[in-house]
Amino acid sequence: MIMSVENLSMVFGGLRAVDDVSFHVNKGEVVALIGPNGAGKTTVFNCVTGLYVPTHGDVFVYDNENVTEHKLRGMTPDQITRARLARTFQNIRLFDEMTVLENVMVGFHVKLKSRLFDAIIRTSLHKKEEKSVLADAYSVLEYFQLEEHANDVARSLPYGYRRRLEIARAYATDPILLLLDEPAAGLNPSETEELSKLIIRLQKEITILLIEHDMSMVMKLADRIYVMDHGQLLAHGSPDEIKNDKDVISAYLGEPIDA
Amino acid sequence: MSLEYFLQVFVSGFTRGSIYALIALGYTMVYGIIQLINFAHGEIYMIGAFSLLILIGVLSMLNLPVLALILIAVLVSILYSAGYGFTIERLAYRQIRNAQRLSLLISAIGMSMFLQNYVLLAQTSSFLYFPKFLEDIPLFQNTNILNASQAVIFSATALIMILLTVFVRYTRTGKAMRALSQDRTMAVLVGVPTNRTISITFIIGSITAAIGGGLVSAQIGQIHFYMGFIAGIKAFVAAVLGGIGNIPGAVLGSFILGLTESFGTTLISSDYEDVFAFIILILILIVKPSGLLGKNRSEKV
Amino acid sequence: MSKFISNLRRSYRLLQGVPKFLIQSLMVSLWFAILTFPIMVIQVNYTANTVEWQWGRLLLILFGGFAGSFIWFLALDRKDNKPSNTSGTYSVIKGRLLDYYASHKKLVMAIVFAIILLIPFASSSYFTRVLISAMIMMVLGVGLNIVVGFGGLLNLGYAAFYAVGAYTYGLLNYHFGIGFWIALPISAFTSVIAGLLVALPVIRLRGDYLAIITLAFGEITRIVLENWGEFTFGPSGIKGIDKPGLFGIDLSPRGEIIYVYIVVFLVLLLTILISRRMENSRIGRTWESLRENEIAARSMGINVPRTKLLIFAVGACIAGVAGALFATNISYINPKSFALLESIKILCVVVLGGMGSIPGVIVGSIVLQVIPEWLRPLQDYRLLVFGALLVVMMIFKPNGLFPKVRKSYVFTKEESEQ
Repeated sequence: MIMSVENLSMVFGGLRAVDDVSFHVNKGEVVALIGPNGAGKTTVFNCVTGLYVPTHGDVFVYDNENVTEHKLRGMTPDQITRARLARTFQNIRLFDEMTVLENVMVGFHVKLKSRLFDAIIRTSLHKKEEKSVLADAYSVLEYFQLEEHANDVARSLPYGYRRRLEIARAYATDPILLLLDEPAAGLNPSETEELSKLIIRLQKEITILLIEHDMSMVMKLADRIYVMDHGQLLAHGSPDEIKNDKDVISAYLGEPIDA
Repeated sequence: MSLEYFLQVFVSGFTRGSIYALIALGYTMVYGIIQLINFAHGEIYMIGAFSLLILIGVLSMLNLPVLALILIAVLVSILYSAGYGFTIERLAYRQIRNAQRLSLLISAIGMSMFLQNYVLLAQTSSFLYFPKFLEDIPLFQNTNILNASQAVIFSATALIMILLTVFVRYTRTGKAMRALSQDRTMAVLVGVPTNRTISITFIIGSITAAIGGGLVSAQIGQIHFYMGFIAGIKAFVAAVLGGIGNIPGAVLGSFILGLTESFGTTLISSDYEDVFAFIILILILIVKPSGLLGKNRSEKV
Repeated sequence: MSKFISNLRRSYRLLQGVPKFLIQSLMVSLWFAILTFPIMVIQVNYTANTVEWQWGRLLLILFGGFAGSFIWFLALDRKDNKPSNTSGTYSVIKGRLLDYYASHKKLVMAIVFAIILLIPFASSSYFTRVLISAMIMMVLGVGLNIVVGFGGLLNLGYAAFYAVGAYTYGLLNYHFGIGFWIALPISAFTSVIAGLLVALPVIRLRGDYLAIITLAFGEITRIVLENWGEFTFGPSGIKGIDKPGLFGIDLSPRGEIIYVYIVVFLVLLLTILISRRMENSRIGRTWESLRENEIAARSMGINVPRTKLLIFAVGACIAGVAGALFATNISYINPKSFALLESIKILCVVVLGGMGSIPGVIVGSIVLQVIPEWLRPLQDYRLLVFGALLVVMMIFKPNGLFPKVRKSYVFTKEESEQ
């Protein structure tokens, strides 16, 4: 198991955005978190990644490579990224005025050690890291097939590429778990197909938790699915199980009409 | 401190607060609708005072009854200030409405400098004497605590508050203003007349500032081209204190600031008068940046 | 040929607009004439009981307004319909110059430096002084550029750190006779402390709020300087501050000025060098990502609060150094030099020059320091023109005169292979 969320609750004033949600993600899986709009999915993400402090509950991450366990509650977002959790955002948050390459280079921030002093004096550490980060960032761009746009300003990229860049940047932080928030939103069918292929490729190295509305993509990619509605966990299981689950169907489509 | 003295200081602070409120309204409305800190707003206040002075001077050559003269002068000076406010928006801010915050800010600063020096060069750099026409109002008994000009200032401010609140809440334009300040994209999409609403916002703000300028000049008895600068900053602090973008907040903040300054300069020191405003500003921004009555404009993650 | 045709088309479109613009300009000039009538034309004198009518000014407004708005409409139209400017003659020349520079970098640099170093020997003390103040402004511009340009942290009270640096040296020199070279690092240090003090409360604030609060701190600093007479000598300031020493050698007044010039130039070079190095490094990218999208930066593992503190500290340090230079240059400091206007001037240097770009800062400083000197006869109109310039620049060139060009990298086959 790589992450476990236990009894997570997030209350805003009178609103229970997330209500006692528990789930887990195993290493190498693609787990999908689905549900109607307003179900609380992004709020769960925000709690896990430290943008909100949950009202109740805990999140644990198990990093087998380094044999460490992290309790994420109370950690700041940057600390959580250092704990090897990376995420993308529903409304893409790129560094618009920086180039594609530079965006990915920022992704490597957690892996580098050069500091202000090193930069000013140009220590050998600095020079070595600058050289390697350039090469590494470029490799990441190649992996994501964005290398042709390396020197383009992020703002100028077409929408589909912007999504890809955001994932590439998150990938650069070398996470063990990648959280994708509606990566297919706004993509046309062929772009969605490419995204699916990308996720399958990523799955070989990284565990993935994604929020998505595109059902065909979810059904194709997910090993397991959790369904949320009104802040609560409604159902969970394999794609087939979820497809035929009565509660899920009525949550999405309303009560079934007698045919 | 005797009761009488206390009341005097209180009334004095309240008066200050009223003037600040009249100016702060303009700041808060404009910020609410286009997220711009209109540095040039203080200059409108100043121009209102100057226009009034000039008009009174000119009209007094016509041998009109005093009341009529004052009324006409006030009305016309208000029109002029509205005109300046409208022109400033059209000229400088409309073009760059959707640009970066920093550009808008610098444009406003430039406008403020321009207007200050415009009046300086066109008129004079010295302090000009202003007729205290509020002092002898019939039917009013000047006491030690409250005098005629202060009473006029209170009533004017109260009247304007009421009118403005009614306007914003019940009229179509008022609703348009609120819509634009909450979600501009959506407001535009549902057909709210953006340009016109924004112009009206500026005009209203300029009118209240001009009234404030006229009143305070009549009370103090002098005007100066630089008066808008410091009054503007303080009114702005008041607006932030109450919650920028929030009309009742601007009023509340203004009174708190006015009273603080009044008691502060009396009890502590009058050299550091301006510092009170800044200290309040810093404190509120650290403790509650959205202001006393403001709501947190949070970013959607 | 196609360039010729597109130019022709553009001119035609402009000409088409002319009659429309004429009418609009006429209306605008009438509007302005009416609007400015009281303030421009009428001058009331209560003590002498007179009213003066300046009709000449009315004509000025009418004609000036007409001409001005006509040009304005033309310019706006041009801005909206402008094709990409890579084919114009200006860009071609600029391109060729930059190419030459890139390939002969060392040579060009050497020649430029030589010229700069020789100037004071060939010019009057007055002109040298002007250049020195322009260079100090450049140092300030580079410093503020880091805070505003890289970090995106809007600071309207930068002059406060400038003041701290200047007064640190001034007071140390006055009370203890401490010389420039020893005081310089101390000035930098006190400014950093000031920077951190200001930064601590504002870490959580964004955009406009940050701007306001830094403005407040700036004003408080000036007010304290003016009123705390026992410590800072109030409005009269500190006089007779020492110039930097050169191993105890006695210099003639002219020699002193040249020496200060060289010192300031070297400090400027150092500052630019350090800024460049910071820019093209992990730290620089961190700062820029902060400016672009704070939440995303946080999610990339960047400790945002600590980074903001660092940015403020670095910016304040540079301002402090500039302050010490300022104090030693004219040997006299008073609170007036550190008022809000100064902070705004430095901000304008950064914005008008081009945010984040060092050539921009250099050009901006020259424009804002040197040109006003040339226009001394028109002294009274300086601020008027300055204000108008700001408004116009924000509309037509919001990115400044020399907007920053992002660094491009070239990748060869070997680098891209794992």
